[in-house]
Amino acid sequence: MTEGSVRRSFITCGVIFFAVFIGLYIIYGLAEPLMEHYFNWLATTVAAAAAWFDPAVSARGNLIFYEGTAALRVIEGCDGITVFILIAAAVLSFPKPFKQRLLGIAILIPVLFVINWLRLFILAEVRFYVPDWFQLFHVYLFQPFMIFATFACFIIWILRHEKTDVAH
Amino acid sequence: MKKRTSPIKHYLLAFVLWLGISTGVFYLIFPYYAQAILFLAGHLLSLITPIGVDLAYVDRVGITLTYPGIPQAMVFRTNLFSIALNWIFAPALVLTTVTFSFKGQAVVRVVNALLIMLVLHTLHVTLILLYFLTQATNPLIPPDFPTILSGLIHWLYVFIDKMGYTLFPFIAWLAVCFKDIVNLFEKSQTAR
Repeated sequence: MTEGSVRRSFITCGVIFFAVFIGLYIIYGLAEPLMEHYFNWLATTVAAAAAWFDPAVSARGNLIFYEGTAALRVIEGCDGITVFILIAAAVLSFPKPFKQRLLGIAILIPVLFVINWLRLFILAEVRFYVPDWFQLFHVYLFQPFMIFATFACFIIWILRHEKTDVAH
Repeated sequence: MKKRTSPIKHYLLAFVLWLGISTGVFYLIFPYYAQAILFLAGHLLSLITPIGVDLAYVDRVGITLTYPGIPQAMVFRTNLFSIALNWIFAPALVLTTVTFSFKGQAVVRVVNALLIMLVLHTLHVTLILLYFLTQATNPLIPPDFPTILSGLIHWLYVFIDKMGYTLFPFIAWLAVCFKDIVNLFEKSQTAR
């Protein structure tokens, strides 16, 4: 690639990336009234999974209860939408055939959804059994972890066909 | 004899390694980084406010803002450590990409990425301060401050509060490693 084509590609990708990112963010904002159902669903499924190990766990609305006391509230920011938007914008703006981009999104968003659900499940468990560690897990471990997971998904998508020669 | 293996695990392991090193560096330099952000944010604020401000970071409390004549410092309960925690990803992303593609200028590119993060964090902190200052009548905000600008500050504040945390390191990474990332993809396509 020449310097000129790299620059043009960079500008095109940057414009598409920010257009998709901000467009999806606006849609996310417009869909806010519907998000309550998603938060409730996340709380219900996480509580159901946790109740499989400990029947003291239950859910009502977006709240997860432990032994009858509200322990965790699933709200904006817990939903994983930020990383879904980020990966969608990154993949859609990447200078490759459109079909590959759509396939990338169709696979990577469900993967990140599962990772985020597992994050919520672990957070709930930490909240119930080691509440002193909740802040550490919630802010300092899982927020960076979600960025790491997004990066890992993006790199796997980029490198998925590559093989490297390793001398033996 | 050669065996062909996927480079994904090597790439991700290298990333975890650089992330660990980067985290250590972040813990060491954070007090200075916080000072740099607040110094720059103070200068940005002085472009808008008619009164000179003094910003300071109080660990586990937030940002304090003082200006001549104020009886008590204004406290913004914002965890700057948490805001800047995504800093660790910028050098890790760049170093992983640069060392993987064996292209030089690693140090220059890391410095560039960190400067981009510094600019983004400064803008973020300035937005936080401006958002709260424009919420009520305050001598720091001129009375003729445009309503449309207040609206824009509010929109940007919410946008960056929700999205900035994940977005910032990737902006820095793409800005300094775009060619390497595209090359990685092209190598991958060639290998199919």
